[in-house]
Amino acid sequence: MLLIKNGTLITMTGIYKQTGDILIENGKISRIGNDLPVSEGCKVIDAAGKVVTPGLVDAHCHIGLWGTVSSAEMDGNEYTSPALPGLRGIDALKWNDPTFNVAVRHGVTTVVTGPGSANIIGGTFTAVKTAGKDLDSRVVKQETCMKMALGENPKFCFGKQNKAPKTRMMNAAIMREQLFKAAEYHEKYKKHGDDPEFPYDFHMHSLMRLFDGMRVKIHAHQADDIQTAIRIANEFGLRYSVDHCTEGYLIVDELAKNHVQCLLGPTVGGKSKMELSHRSFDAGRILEEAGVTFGLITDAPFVPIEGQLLQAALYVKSGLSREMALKCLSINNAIITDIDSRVGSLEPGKDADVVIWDVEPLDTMAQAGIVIIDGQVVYERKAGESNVDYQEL
Amino acid sequence: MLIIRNCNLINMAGIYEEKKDLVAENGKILDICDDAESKYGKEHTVIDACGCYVTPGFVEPHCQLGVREQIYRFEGDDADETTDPILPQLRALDAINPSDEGFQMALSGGVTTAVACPGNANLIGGTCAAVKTAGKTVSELVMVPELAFLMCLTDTVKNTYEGKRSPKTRLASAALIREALIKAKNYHTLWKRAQEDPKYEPPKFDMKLHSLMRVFDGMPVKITAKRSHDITTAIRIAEEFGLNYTLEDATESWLIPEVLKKHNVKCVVGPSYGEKNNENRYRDPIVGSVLEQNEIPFAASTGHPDMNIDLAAIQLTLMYKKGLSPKAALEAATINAARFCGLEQRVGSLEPGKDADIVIWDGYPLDYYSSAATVLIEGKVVYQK
Repeated sequence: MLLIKNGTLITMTGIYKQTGDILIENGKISRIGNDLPVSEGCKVIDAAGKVVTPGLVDAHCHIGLWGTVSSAEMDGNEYTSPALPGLRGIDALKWNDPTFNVAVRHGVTTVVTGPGSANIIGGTFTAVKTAGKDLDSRVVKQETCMKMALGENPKFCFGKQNKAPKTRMMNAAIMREQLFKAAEYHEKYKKHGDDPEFPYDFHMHSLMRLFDGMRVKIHAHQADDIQTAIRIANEFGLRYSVDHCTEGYLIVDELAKNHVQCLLGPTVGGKSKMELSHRSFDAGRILEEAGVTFGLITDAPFVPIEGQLLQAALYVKSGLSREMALKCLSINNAIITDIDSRVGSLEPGKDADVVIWDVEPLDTMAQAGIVIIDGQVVYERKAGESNVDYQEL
Repeated sequence: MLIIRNCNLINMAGIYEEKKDLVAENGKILDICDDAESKYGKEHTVIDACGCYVTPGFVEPHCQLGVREQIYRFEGDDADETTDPILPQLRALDAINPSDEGFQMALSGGVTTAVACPGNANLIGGTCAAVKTAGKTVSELVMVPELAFLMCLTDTVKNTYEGKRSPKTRLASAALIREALIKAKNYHTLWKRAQEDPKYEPPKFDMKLHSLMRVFDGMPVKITAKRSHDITTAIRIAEEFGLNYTLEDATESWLIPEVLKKHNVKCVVGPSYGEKNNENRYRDPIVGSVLEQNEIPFAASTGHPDMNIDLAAIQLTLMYKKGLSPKAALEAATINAARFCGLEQRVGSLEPGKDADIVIWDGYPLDYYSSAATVLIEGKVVYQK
């Protein structure tokens, strides 16, 4: 048992900067309240004057798949065929990549990580904790979302090999063709799946889960690609988010009308391609004002995971409210990746992933002081400790 | 005459957070005083800084501003002529597009001077140009058309030529640079001899060597090296040939500060924030405090667009968060950057006689939430938030 006493709580679901206690039992949050009794053998952390938040969540990154020190670790894009829904991010996850330790030091306790955007359908994202003795103990959900991509990346990646897709028309056609096939397969499987002679199709078997409610993450930057994503998702009745959503703020009414859930980012960085021409930190403020549900993502390594709070601060600088910015890094990211039953907020019954900050996390000088995952203290900043992030390499 | 009154001035030359008025005339700083209006009269243009922080415009000592443009991949990317690893005859100035959005980003980040370089794909990439960051044409922007050569000892070069030609290894990278320098030195000797004594013929014109020989007249060389063994190779080659050099990027400099100190290396560090890969594995803003503790003066660079130039102050803030003193942080982006580029007679600090390149900040410069509110170049307002 662990009791965090007298912290300034930001639970992300109601309590914003009120003093309170959090009781942790068996890796879960069991109670939140004031003056909770200290039972025998209960470890107590005095959080008076400190800010207590849930562990931060990154809803879209490539940590553990993209490698840090060698091209031998690059497992993000299987660009040998544009539609490979049978692939699983978890199968390439280097769960002990040192980047996870950096994430912990910066208060990120859950990441949703998976394949890149070279393929129209790239495979599934996995949700994992950033600390734990092995992969099994870290997994929140082995396969949480199917990754799809529109826009420049697939058409350039395959176009330069003189293969389809070369155009946005083909991007959409390949996505639709796969979805038609998967819908048909799904229907047949529901009827005849028990038949030992049922013609099993590895990739369709994975993709058909969309018709049982598995979420899709659709990579789209430009307004036209976002609208293609909305159109196709509506046609097939998909549960989905638009990831990156760079120009979403330019068509915010469309987003609101269609109840599109968005994951914004990475936004720190240059306009390295045409579809990023309108990249702007104003997007956060505009989506908030329009009532769109959205989260903020690093797409690490593109914004390094230690830059997650910096990126959010720059959104706040452009008018996003602090309270919403913090939700965007926690509960919203959890909701949009279907892991909110376990993480993303401080509520009884949820995983005890907690960060204790010396100052508010969005302040310039903020640093995570104590990080707790599943009730275990996995990081505690020591006075005078080295400030090097990648020391373990 | 322009008066900027009520500054909380950090001039990078002795005045640190003092209430002062700045006076500029004909694009230069004329005076720094306590009450400019009673001294010079009230009829001049006056900007009230309202007690905000005022610093010199930042100097970006190593970037590809205008050379590798925003948004356009092929059309706007002129940084890397990947057809030959030794190209000293190229000039970054010939590729700068003043209408690139990068210039607006520079101004919004308080950067008023930038050294635009070729990319890191060649061993000798060409020459770098020093420019101001506001102007419609290159001739309006340019301060020094050919400020320094750029040489690179990085994996980028090996990757660029892999399977096509040498270099494939660090051995060849060093050998090809040495070979070029030896040829240029011989060419330089023959050229000088012919200049001094008409009885000698000049060497047969060679554009590469004709350009590169200038390093033997003291023209500076920027040597990009990230990993510590590449840094030591850079030092070795530079000392062998007596080059006037600075070490650029210097990602792993914080792992070997004693080497840098022993060899009096001038380091232009950065970007210290961004994507990790093999070469950048030790990329960390800790570099600032480690170099400061070891009393190694350094300049800070974003390497734009590697790290965006509008994040110049954010990079300093990240270094400050990891223990670098605020004064050293600001020096890295102003006076040290100017000195290491040989531009300190004109920019890098606010002193009488120097260019009136001034930033009025809307908060403490080393804070995520602060911005450059008003930026002046040579006494003219070129950006307002």
